[in-house]
Amino acid sequence: MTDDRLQDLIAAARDGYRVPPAPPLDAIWARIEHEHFDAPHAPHDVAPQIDEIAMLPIRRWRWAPAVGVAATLLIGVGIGRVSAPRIEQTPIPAVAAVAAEPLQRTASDYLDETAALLASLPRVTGTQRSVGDVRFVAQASQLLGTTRLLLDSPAASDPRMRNLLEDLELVLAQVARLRPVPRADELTFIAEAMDERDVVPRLRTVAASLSASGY
Amino acid sequence: MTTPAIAFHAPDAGPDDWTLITRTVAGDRSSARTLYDRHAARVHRLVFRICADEELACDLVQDVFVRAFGQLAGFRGDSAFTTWLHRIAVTTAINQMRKVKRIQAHEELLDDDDLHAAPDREADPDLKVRLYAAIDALPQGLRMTVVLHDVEGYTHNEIGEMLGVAEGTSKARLSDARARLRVALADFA
Repeated sequence: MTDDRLQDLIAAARDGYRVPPAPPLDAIWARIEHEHFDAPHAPHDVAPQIDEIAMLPIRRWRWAPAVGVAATLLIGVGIGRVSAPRIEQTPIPAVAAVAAEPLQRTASDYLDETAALLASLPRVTGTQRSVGDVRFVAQASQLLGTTRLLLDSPAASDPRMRNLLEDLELVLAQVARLRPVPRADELTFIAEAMDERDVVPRLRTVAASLSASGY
Repeated sequence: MTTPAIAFHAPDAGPDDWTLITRTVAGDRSSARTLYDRHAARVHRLVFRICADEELACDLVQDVFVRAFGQLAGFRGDSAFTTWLHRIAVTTAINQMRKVKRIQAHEELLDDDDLHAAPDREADPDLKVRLYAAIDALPQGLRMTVVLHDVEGYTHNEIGEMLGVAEGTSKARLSDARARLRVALADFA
């Protein structure tokens, strides 16, 4: 089938694709009216202003490239050690524990840095400074790369960690695309994405559990 | 709030969108209702085409307008109101579907159906039905692009804004999607 033929077909069929039934617009409006107008607080009063948010220093951002390379190497070593054929029977637990160390350490560092980045990300635009400056974008890009490496590593075999990494991938991708002066709704979408999935609390929980295990 | 440079399209009689937005921000419920009446059906159609779930689509329309009204004071008219509103709709739908894991369940179901297999023209002769099934069988990112571009008529620039991807990524996804659709519909050439 040619592209022109396909486009003609889509053009002819587009009106029939997933045609919804007539929505109960009045009933939906009643819910909207109750939730928006009858709510005790106006939604746009909830978000804190940028001036109220402590801009946490991102001390290690200058080391982002080096950290990225190190993370890649450590993950590679971790994967190699974990997936290497096991010849002897008795030392397996000890070998597995040693093999997991670099990966866990990488994951722990990654979680700490990601938590610091997300905590320092303002939720609304302001006049104080450019919130989408190169520090956020560069570090988010670096962490996004590490996220994807971790998703392909044995670290993601844990369902809780995998779910967290998948959510962080989405959030970091949005942060990495912030403009130098982001629009208010861009920051709102990121904040909502984090809030809806409890990203930061889960991030801290996993980081704490890793720290408790010695990392 | 200043009057935006972009003139809003008013498909029906009455105040234009910008007037309604200003009044809604000031707390006028009837203006909010008029805005809702003007745009709700299109938003519903859009989110339904994303989620294919009647009940969820109604919930999403509610969420979209509650969020839109909550953020309306920050709307500056940098883009058309419909583009801004539909961006909220797409983002809300994607977030909600991820949250309830319906994407994975839907894709697994479609994988089981193996809709990319050679079509049985005896059993399924309707080309439109095959096309719809092939679109539904696309990976989420590709399907969203086809729905927004080819079905809903958005530009790649608007799709990039909605999905948070570069315009070029949207174009590449559409090209990839169409290639897959051509393969899926090869027997109908």
